[in-house]
Amino acid sequence: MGKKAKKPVVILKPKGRASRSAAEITRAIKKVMAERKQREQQSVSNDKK
Amino acid sequence: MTRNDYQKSVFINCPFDNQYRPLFDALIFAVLTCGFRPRCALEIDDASEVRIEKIFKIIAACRYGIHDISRIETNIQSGLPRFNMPLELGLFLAAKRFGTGRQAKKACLVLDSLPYRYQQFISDIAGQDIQAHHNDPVEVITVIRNWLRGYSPEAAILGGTEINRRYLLFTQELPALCERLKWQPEELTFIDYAQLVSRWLELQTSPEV
Repeated sequence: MGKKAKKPVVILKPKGRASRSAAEITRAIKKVMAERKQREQQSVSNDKK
Repeated sequence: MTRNDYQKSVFINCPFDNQYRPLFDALIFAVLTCGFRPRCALEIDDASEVRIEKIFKIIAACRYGIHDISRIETNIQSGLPRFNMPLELGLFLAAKRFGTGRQAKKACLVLDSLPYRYQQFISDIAGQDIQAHHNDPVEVITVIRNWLRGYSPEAAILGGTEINRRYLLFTQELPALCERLKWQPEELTFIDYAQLVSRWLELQTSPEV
């Protein structure tokens, strides 16, 4: 029998309410992540030149 | 409080000052990345409740405790040391010792900056799980990850190197995140910081991004 697969870790929400809504936090993170991906793609295309 | 809440909650007992902030941020990041929920006195702002009562409630709600007793220096202004960390470690150990049921199954990790130094100022805790972090956030993350790993063998917890890589990336992106949210990084409350880390970690592996 094969080895039992491990469960993925679930990231828990902390107790308490932040001073910005969950939606605002998510939007900000997605924007910053998109900028990161853009920089990474730019760096890859620069390396190819 | 559900059984799962208790099993996944970690009481954080450490200094809450600017000097400790880099270690505190790394500690919270490590706990959340390992799939646990950090709890500490900073999460409650109900001024009507006596502080020690808040601490009793949080300790009762946490199976695990991380206690950093490294701050033994005297305060420059008062010339006196702070005793809150050893006191709260004592409360946690007493809850485990005298509690029943799930309280008796508590587990804790004690951190100090240097190995074996605790023997000179709090030797009664010999026999507990005591680890040194050398005031280095990288070591804090690795020590906490390895300790929590032992309490969730069925989960695919990332390795210390990978968690440190993600933490570095998060700290690099934190100023831009704060700018978008109109926060100052140095003014982030515990709740703001923990919510931000929690959601950031979720989105790193989310197909929705």
